[in-house]
Amino acid sequence: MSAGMAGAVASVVVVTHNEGAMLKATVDSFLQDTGEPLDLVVVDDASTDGSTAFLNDADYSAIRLCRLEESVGISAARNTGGRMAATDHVVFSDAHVRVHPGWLEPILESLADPAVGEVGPCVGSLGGNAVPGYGFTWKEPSLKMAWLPNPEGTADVPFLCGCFVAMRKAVFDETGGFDEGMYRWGFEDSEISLRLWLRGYRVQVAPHARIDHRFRPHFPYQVDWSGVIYNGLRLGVVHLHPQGLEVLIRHYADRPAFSRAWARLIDSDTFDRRASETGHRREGAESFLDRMGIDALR
Amino acid sequence: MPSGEPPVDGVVVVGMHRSGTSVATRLINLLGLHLCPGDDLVPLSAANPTGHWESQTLVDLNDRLLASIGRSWWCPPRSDQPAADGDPDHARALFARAHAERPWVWKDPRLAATLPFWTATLQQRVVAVVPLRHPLDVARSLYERNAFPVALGVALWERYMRLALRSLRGMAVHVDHYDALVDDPVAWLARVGAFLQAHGIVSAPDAGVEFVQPALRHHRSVTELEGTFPATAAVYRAVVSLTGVHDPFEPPPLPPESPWVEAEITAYASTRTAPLPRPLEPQVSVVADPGWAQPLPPFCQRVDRDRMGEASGATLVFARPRTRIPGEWWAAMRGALAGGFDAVGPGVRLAGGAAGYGLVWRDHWLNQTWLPRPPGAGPQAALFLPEACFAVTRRAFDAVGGFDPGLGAGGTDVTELCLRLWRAGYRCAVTPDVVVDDDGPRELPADDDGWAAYLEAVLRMASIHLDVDDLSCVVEGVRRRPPVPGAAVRLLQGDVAERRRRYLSEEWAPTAAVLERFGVSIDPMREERRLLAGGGEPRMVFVGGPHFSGADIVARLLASDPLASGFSHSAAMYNEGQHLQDVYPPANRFGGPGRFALDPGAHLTETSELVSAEAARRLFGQWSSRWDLSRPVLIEQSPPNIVRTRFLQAMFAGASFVMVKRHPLATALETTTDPDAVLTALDNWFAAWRTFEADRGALARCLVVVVEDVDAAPERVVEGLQEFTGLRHLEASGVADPARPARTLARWDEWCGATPASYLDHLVRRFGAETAAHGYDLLRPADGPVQPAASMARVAVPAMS
Repeated sequence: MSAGMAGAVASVVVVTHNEGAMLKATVDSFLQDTGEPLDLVVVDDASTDGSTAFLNDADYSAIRLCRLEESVGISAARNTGGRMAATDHVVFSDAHVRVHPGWLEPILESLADPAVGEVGPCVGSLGGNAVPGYGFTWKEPSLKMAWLPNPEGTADVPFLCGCFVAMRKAVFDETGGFDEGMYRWGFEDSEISLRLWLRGYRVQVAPHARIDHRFRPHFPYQVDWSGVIYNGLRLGVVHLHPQGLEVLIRHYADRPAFSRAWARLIDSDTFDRRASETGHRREGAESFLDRMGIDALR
Repeated sequence: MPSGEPPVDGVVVVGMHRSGTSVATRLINLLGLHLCPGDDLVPLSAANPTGHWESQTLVDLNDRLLASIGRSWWCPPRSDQPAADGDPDHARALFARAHAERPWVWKDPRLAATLPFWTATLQQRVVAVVPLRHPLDVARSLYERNAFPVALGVALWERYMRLALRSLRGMAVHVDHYDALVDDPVAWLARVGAFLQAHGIVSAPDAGVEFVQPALRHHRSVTELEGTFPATAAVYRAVVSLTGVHDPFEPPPLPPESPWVEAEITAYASTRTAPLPRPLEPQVSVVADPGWAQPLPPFCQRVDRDRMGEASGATLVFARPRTRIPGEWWAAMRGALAGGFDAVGPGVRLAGGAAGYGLVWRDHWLNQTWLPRPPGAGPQAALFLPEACFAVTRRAFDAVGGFDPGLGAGGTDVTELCLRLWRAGYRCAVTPDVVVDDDGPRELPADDDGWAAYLEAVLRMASIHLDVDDLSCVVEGVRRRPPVPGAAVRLLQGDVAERRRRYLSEEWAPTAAVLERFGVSIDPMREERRLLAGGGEPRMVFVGGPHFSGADIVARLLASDPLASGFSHSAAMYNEGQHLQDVYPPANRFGGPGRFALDPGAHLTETSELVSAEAARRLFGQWSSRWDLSRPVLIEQSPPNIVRTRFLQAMFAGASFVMVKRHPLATALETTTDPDAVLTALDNWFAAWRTFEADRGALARCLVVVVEDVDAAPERVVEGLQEFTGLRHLEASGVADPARPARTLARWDEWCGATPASYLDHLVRRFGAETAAHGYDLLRPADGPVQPAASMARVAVPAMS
C-alpha cells in the first residue's frame, strides 16, 4: 500500500481518539478504496490506546500524523488537520468509517460549484442494518438528527453528519472550519452546516458517494452532558432567531445538566462569536428553517 | 521639622470661641503669614473691636458643614457623631480663593469640629496653634456677647476642646495660654515664631504688638471652676498640661463627657429658631417617584426619578414612594458617608413588623432576608441596602455605572448596585440608630408578568455576577419555571455577557469574596459538595442485588439527592448501567434474571483480565453522558453488581456498594412462576448473596439495604443511606410502596395454591435454614424480615470518607 501527496486532489483528515483497530481499518479503506491519490492526515486527539502505532510502518509512511498531547475535542482536532491540508479540497472523516469505491468523484463534482460550501456522502451503517442517510434535518427541539431519504441525485440538505464532510480548502480557511468553542462533542456538525447556509453557501449531499459509518451505542470517551447542551445553546445563541432559541431552551431547561450548561455559556466567548458571525450572515435562521421546511423550533 | 522637608503651607488657629483665637491669628499674620483677602474678612464688631481675622467665605462653609450633620457653632457635634462632610471639590475651590498665598493663617473656632474634613480635603502640610483660655472666662465672655447662660458657655468650652483635641491628632501643634499672650505678647510671639520656624516658616514681624490690650482680658478666674464644674475642671487641667509644642500631637486621656454637656447644649439649641444656613448649591439630591412628597432640609435638591440626570448633588438619596424619611436620618446618613462608607441606608420598619437593618441573600433563589440590628452604634457594613431609602455618593454611583437599567423588579436594581459597589471596592452601611417606616407592602410580583420580570432579574443578576458554581445553583432553582425560557432568550440577546466580562476585566473583587465576607452562601450545599468532592474525582456508588430485589428503587432514591446523579430516561431496562457499556458482560450473558449468579463466569473480581485503567476510562466514558458530571456522587445500578463488587472496586478505587436484599421467594416469584424455574431462581438468589458475602471482606465500603424496610420504615432506610453516602437531601417521598407487601402476598397465595404442598416442603427443606440466616421465613414472603437481623441497622456501615 502506498499513499502520498503527489498528485493528490483531496486531503482527508481523520480524527481519532482511542479508536483501537477501527482507525487502521479506516485508513486502509481510504488507501484501498480510493482511486485517486490522497493527502491523508491523521490527527490523534491524545489517544492513550496506542492505536496510531501502525502508522510507523513503512506502508503508511506517506500519511502525516499529528499527535496532540492533550485532547482538544473534535472541532479543534478537525481544524488542526484542516489547516494541514495540502490540496484544494479537505475531507473530514471519523476514524470508524469505510469508504466505498468511487466515493471521491461525486463529492469533488459537487464542490466544483462555488456556491456549494459543504458536501457529504450517503452514510450507511457499518456493522449494522440501519437505512442509509442522506444528510439530516431537525424534527425535534432537541436538534436530534433525523436522517433524510435518498434524493436520487445531488441535492441540497439542511445539515450533514460530521462523520464525513468535504469542503473546499478556501471555504474552510474563510469560515475557520468547525467551531472550536464547542465542547468535545455534539452539534458541531449541525453548526457548521447552518453557518455555511446562513453565510450564503449551499450544503449538499452527493448520494452516489457512499461511506459506512459505525454508529456506536456508547461513547469511547467521557462525554459531559452539560457540555453537549452547552453546544446546543451555543449554536442557538450564535445563529438562531429569538423564537427558535426559546424553543431550544424550553426543551433543554428540563434537563438537570442545563444549569451548568447555562453557566458555561455565560462564561464563554459565544457572544463574541455571535457578533462576529452576524457580520457574515446573508440570511436569517428563521428564513432558512422556513425554506427548509424545518418546524422543530416553532 | 526634619531637614529636607518643605515648609508647611499654612497654620490653623484652633480653639474655643472667645479664647483669643482672633488676636492669636492677627499676631501670626504679623509674623508674615497671609490672611484671606481683606474683602472676605468678617467685619469688625463690638465684641471683637480689633477684628475677627477670619474668612467669611470659610465661616459660611464651616457653618454648612456643621449643618450637614444637624449641628451649628452653638450646637457643636458630640465626639461620637460622624464627622461633618461636604463636597471636597467645592471646598477646595473656596479655600483656594480665600488663601491663594502661602504660607497662610486661618482661624475659625468651628475648625474644632470640621478640621478632619479640611485636612482630608486640602491635602496640605498644616500646623496648628491652639490658644487656651479658662472655661469660665470663655463662658462669661459668651454671656456678655451672646447672652449664653454660663453653664452653656462652660459646656460649649468642654465640647469644643474635646473636639479640637481629637481633630488635632497627629499634627504639629503649639498650645499656649491666652493669659500668657495678653500678659506678654512679645514672648508669645517669639514662642510661636520659633514653632513656625521649626516647620519652615521664617517669621518676619512687621508691626508691633500694641493692639494686644490686657483690658480685653475680661475675666480671670482660677478656683471657681473646680467646685461648680468638676468634670470640666478635669478637662481644663489636662489641656493646660499640654502647653507647649507637640509633634505629633496625641490627645491626652480624658474622662468621659458628662451627660449634662449635651443636655445643656441641646436644651439651648431647642430654643433657637434661626434656620440652618442654606447651601450655595445642593449637596444632596433626593431622587424619588413624581408622587413622592416630603419636606426636605434646605441642603437637598428634589429630583423626579425619571429626570435623574438633573440630580447635581454630591450625594444621591433614593426613596420609594411611601417611605417617610425622619429628620435625624440626614445627619446620620451624612455622617456615615463622611465616615468612610460610600452608600448608606437606615433601618427599615416594615408595616406592622420588626425593623430590618440591611439585607443578604438567603438562598439560591436570591431571596433576601432582613438582618437584625447589629450590635453597637454608628454605621455598620451591610451587603445590601433597603430599596425603601438609601443614599450613595455621586462619586461611587458614577464610578460603578449607576443602576443596571435591565433590573428593577423587586428591588433587584438596588441589590445589584450594592453588589457592584462592594465588588468595586466601595462600602455600604446601615445606620441602625435611625429607622424609617416603610408602610407600603414590599413590591412582590403581583401577576405572571411580574413574576416573569422578577425571575428574569434574578437570572440576570446571577448571570452577571456569580461564579459558575453559584450560577449553576441559581439556574437549577429556576430552570423549570415557565417564564424562564423567554427570560433566558432576552438575557442572551442583551448585554449580560458583556457586563459580566466588563466587571471581570475591571479587576473588581470576585462576587464570591464579597459574599463570603458577609457569610452568604448561594449554594446551600456548597460545603457538602466540597466535602463530597474532596478527592476531585466523583464518588461512585454501585447498587445491585438479584433481579427484582428493588435495586432500581434504592438507586432512584440515591439519585434524588441534588448532589448525586443517576441514569434516567435511557433506553436500557430499569436504567441499568450494565446495558449502557461494552466493557464487561451483562447478566444476560450468564442466563439473565434468576440464573446469572449460578454461572461462575459472572463473578468478576480484581483478578479479571478485564480490569485495566484503560478499561476503567472507557467504562466511565460510556456512562459519562448519562450522568450530570457536575455532581460529586454518581450512581449506577445493575443487579449483577452483587457478583462484581471486587471488579468494580478495582476499576474505580473508592467506590461504594449498596446491595439490596429482598425476600428470596418474593424475588423468585417476580422472576417466574414455573416451579422448576422458581427453584433455580432461589438457587440464584442464595448464590448471589453467598458470592457477595465472600467478597465483602475485600470491600472498603458496602451497605446492605432490605427492601421490605423501604416500605415499612422508609425513614430508617433514608437515614442509613444518608449516613453511608453523605447525601443529606434524599427525596424519600414516594419511595415507600405500602401496597407492595399485599401484591407480594397475593402472588404468593396464587402460586402456593397452584403448587403441591410436597414441593413447598421440598423448598423449605432445601432453603429454609439459609433463608432464616438472612432473617427471613421462607413461607412468609410478604412480611419482610421476621426479625431485624437482616435489616440495615445491624449491618456495619463504614461511612464514605
